[in-house]
Amino acid sequence: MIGTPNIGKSAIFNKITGLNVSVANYVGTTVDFAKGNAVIKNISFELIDVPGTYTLDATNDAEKVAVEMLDKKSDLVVCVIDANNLEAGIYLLLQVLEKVLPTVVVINRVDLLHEKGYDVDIDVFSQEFGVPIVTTVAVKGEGLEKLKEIIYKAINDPKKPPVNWEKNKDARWEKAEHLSKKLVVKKADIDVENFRKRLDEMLIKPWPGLPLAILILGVAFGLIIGIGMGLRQGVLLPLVRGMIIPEIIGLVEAIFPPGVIQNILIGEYGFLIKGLEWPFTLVLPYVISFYFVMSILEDSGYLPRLGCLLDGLLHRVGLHGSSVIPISLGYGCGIPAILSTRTLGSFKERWIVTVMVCVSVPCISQTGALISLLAERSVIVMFMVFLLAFVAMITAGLVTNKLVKGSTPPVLMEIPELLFPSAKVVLKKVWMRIKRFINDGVLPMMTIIAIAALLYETGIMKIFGEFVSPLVTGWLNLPKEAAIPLILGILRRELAVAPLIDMELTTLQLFVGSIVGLFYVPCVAIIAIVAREFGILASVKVLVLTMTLAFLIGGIFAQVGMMFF
Amino acid sequence: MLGKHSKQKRHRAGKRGNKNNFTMLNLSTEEEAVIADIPDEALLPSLGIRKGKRVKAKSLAPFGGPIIVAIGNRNIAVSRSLAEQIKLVGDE
Repeated sequence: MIGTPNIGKSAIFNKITGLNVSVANYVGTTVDFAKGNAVIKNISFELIDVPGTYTLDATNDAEKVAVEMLDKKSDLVVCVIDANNLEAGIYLLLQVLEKVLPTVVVINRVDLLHEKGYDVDIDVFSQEFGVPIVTTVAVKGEGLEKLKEIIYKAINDPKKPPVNWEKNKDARWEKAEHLSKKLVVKKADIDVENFRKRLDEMLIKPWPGLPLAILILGVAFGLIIGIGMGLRQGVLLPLVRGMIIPEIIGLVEAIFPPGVIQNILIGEYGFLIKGLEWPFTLVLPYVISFYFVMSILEDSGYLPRLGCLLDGLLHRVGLHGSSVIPISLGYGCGIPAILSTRTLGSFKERWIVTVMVCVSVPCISQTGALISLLAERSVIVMFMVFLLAFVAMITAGLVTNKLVKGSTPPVLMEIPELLFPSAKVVLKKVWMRIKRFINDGVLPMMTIIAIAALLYETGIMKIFGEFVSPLVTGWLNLPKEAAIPLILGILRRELAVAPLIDMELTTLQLFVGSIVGLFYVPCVAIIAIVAREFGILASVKVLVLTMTLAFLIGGIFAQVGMMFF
Repeated sequence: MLGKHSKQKRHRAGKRGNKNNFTMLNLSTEEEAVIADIPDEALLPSLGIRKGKRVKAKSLAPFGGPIIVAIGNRNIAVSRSLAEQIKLVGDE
């Protein structure tokens, strides 16, 4: 399945295969091809979702993937075209048809075209190209049964498309332009000066776009913290701490006599206690609130607009507007953030964003832990930590920009249509994130806590604590137990912070502990992704850099702070 | 302020003086023109930036950011350096 960027290929892919690959309203959500098995009636086949590409000229990595896929002689090509931009779609279709493989065409997002009072004449379209055609609205599931039907027919009775045009760029564009005009027919006079369009104009102009951007980001930040805290205090804490944990304690006490085993299960680091409390009351509320807000931002198409507004400023740190997307993703999890840098034009930009994300963009798990640790004590300290993280991010960008050679390629990108996200799609995305968090987050977290409980109860942790105590107690001025988050934090980012919650710390110690946790090694998974994407040397650099920054900055604040408090 | 002023100046010089110097960057907001010539950049044609196409400037992003133009019903962000190389012809 191939098509131009950001027109809903992944939405169609998900509907046909029943899988859940990421979808969003900006160019480049799919950075690698996704494979899934699908069954229609009695035939089963493998469907491959290729990253969006405007042409088959292979001018960037994503396009190269697409071209390689087609050259592997697929049995059937599903070419997806955007109803709102037939011209670019037809150009790609012409190039696809030149490969003379059996092809079916999907014209997606016809709802947006109907809204403007137009329609696509699919009979003429089909005659013109001699291939089966269907119109769909993938996110709403419209037209997909019909699509399955034509795929079924085309697999059973493959037909090679006729190619009767000149195979060169100018001829293709001429044909595409001519056909796109011929195939779109006006159905009704609709005033396109609608609210969405007026809002869009306001958002992209410096005035009032810039103040609106500050307002939107402020509201987003407030919503994430507000909804998260509400869920934690109002729902998850009472449920987990008030109802589930007392039951577990009762049960364990009835089965195991007091001693090491009971302590491992329900003691200070008892994994049945912390292993439930931390993932479900510290992190889950913020996973829900963050992805709720993020899904709305993603699906509305606001992020590329924000990217344009900030582009000039981002150039000063060697980035351009599009890097707003990977950086925002990083506040959820660094892994998709680093993967999505593949759509950025140059190695330099990819590396700058990666350094920024590794050094000072806390993932949502860690943010949840930080908020719980700090907000209940002092909101001012919480804001100071986040402000410091932001300043550090900019500094990391400025420094990396100076150190890495290469130039930032000029901006050239399509700004997707501004859409109102559908509640159903947003809720589905949030639900998917909760499921993914339970599978990929909660279980590892519980395992790590179980191991920590074992190390703690057997005294091994204490020995390590003694070993690093000059650093922890002497330099950072934290209690000895603070060595624990430093070990756990290597495995998962939030565990560099969460254990501090149960220690009796002064406000200064909380601040220092948070900063060390923030700058500390991003989790092992991120180190592995950095190694895969940039090589082992790069991941060593990230390890050394984050380790040094954490102890250096944390220590400076601890030492200077002690002089005043 | 200075940047805006010099842009205005260039704008006038471009339009009244040598017609070949009229580029996409000279467009003021809501102004329309037709593309006369484009630099060799692979993505431009796919984004609808081709000879003979009508463009309308929508906004110029602050701090040296891109110019946003409408072509048909698509909005495209083009960096100033690239916009400067896209030659236009006026309507009159």
